[in-house]
Amino acid sequence: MTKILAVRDLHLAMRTGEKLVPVLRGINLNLPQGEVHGLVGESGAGKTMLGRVILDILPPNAVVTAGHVDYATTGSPIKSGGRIFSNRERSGISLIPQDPMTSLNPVKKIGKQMVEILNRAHTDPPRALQERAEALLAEVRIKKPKEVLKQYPHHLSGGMRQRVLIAMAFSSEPGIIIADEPTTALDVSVQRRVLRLIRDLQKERNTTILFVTHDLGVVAKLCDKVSLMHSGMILEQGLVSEVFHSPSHPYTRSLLKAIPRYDQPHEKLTPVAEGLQSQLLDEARKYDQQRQV
Amino acid sequence: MSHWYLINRLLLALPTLLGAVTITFVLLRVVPGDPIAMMTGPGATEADIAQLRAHYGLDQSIVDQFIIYLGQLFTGDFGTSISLRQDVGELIAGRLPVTVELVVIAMCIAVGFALILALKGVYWRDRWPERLIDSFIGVIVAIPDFLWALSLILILGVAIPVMPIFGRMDLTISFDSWTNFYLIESLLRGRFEVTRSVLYHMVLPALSLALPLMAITARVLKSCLNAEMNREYITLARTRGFGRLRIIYREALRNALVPATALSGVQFTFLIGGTVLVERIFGYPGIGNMAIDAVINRDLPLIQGLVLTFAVLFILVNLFIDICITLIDPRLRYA
Repeated sequence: MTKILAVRDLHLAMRTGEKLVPVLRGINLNLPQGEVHGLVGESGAGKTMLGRVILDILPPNAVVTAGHVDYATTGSPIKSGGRIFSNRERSGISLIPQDPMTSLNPVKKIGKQMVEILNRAHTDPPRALQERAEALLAEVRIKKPKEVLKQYPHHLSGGMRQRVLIAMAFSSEPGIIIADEPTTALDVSVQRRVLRLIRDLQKERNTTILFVTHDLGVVAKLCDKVSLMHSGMILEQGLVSEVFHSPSHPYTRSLLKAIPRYDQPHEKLTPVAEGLQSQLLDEARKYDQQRQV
Repeated sequence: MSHWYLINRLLLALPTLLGAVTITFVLLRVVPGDPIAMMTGPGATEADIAQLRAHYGLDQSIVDQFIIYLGQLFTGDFGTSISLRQDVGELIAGRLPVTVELVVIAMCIAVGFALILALKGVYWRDRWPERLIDSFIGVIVAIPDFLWALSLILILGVAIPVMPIFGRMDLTISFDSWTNFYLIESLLRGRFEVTRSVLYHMVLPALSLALPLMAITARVLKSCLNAEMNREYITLARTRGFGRLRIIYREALRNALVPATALSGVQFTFLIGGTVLVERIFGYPGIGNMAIDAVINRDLPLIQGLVLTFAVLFILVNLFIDICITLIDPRLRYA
C-alpha cells in the first residue's frame, strides 16, 4: 500500500510566557492509503494537537521543536506559524470537526458554504457546483438536498449539520480526513448512523482517516489500526484486533478493563489506577530531561 | 420580515412616545422657573402677567393643561413658542434637517473609521500595529465629545486657523433653501459652492461627535471579531486554505457586526445628546442648539416639542437598527 502520511519524531510545545511546555513527545505515525487509524487517549493526551499539526492549523503559541510531517510525496518540514501547504495540498487533507453546532458559519446558507469550498477545487460554473453540492448532500443521505442547500445552519438538527460537515470534508476529494471526535456532541442513536456513514463513504473512496476519539468501542467497530496516546507519547500502536486481544502496555490493559460490557452487567468497572497515571507522567518528565541533556 | 412586524413595532412606539410626553410635561411644570417672568420685563404689572398666563393657558391646572396639550398634539399642533412667538412645529421643521445632516455625517465617519480600525487591528493581531490601534482607541474613548469640540477649535480653528469654527455655512453665500437639508438640496440643485461650504463647516462639529462614538464602536467590533476568530467555523475555514484576510472579511465580519450594530443603536442616543453641547459650541443652528435656548428661556411648548422630536428620532433609529440586525443575522428573522 502506498504511504500517504508520515509523522516522524514530531515534538510540539506550547509557549506559556517564557517556558515551553511539551505537548507532543516524539510521535511517529504512518498512514497508508485507505487505512482508518484510531487515535485514542484521554483529555490532554495531545490527540487534537496532533490532528492540528497535520492540518497545519496550530494555535500561534504552538512551536514544533523537532520532527516533521510528510504528506504524500512532498516532504514538508513544519515551521511554527508558517504556511506549509499550498492550496492544492490543502484540499488533500480535511477535517470533520467535533461540534457540528459551532462548525458552520451561522450567517451563510448551506449551499453558499458548500459552493465556496467546491469553488476552490473546481473551476466549474456556479450551476454545476450547485448540482455537485446537491449530489454530495444526497450522498450523506440528506433527504431533500435541494431545500437544505437553501437553508441556514440553525434550521438543521445537530445530526443533519454533522452530515453536512461530512459532505464538506469529502467534497474536496481529500486523501486524508482527520475526524476529531466527530460523534462526541451527538446523541447515541445519531452517533451510530453518522459512524456508519463515515465508514461507508470511506470504503467507497478508499480515503485514509485519522479517527481521534476516546471511545474504544468506536475504534473496535471502525478502525484498522489504533494508536494509544498518553501525555504526548504513543504508548502502543498496532492492528485493532491485536491490541484489543493482547494489549502489551499496562495502560491499554487498564483502559480495556474500563469498558462497560453487555454480557456482564453486574461487573464493576475498574478506573485507571492513580499510580499508573503518575507513573506515565513521570516517564514523560524523564523523557523531557533526557532530551535536554 | 413582514410589514406586520413594522406596523407592530410602530404601534408599540406609541406608549413610549406618550410616556416621554407625559414625563416632560409634568417635570417642566414641577421644576421652578416661570416662562412668563422670563418674557416680561421688571416693569410688567400683575394684570399683564395674568393676561399672558391666561393667553398661554398657564393659569389652568396641570391636568387640564395636559389634556389640552394632548388634544393639540393629535391635531398636529405643537403649540406656540413662548420666547420666539412662532409655531413650534415650524421651528423644529426648520432646524431638524440641520441636526439630521450633521448626525448622519458624524455616524458615517464613526462607523467607517471604526470598521477600518477594528479590521486592521484584528488582521494584525498580537503584533505591534494592533497595540498601536488599541492605545489609539483607548485615548480617543477617554475624551468626551464637547472636549473634542474645544480641542479641535483650539488646534484647527485658533492655533492653525484652517477650519471654520462657527455656523453652518459661509454667510456671504446666499442660498434660499426649501427644505433646509442644505447638503442634499445644494447637490440636487447643482449649487456645489454651497455643498462645499456646508461640508467645510461640518468637519469639526461632525468630528467632535464622531470620535468618541468611533472609538467605542471600534473597540466593541474588534473584540467581537476576535471572539469570532476563535470559533470552530473559522478553524474549519483555515483547514480549507482560505486566507486570513478572506476569513476576516467573509466569514467573521458579518457575525461580529450583530452586537456592534446593536450597540450603535444605543450610542445614537448619546450622539443626539452630544449635539446639544457640540452645536452650542460651534454655533450650529440645529435642534440641539435650539434646545439650550428653549431651556434657558423656560419655553415650555418648545422644550416639549423638542423632547418629542428626540423621542421620535430615537424610536425610528432603533427600529432601523433592529431591521438591520435581522438582515445581518438570519437566526433573528421571524418565521
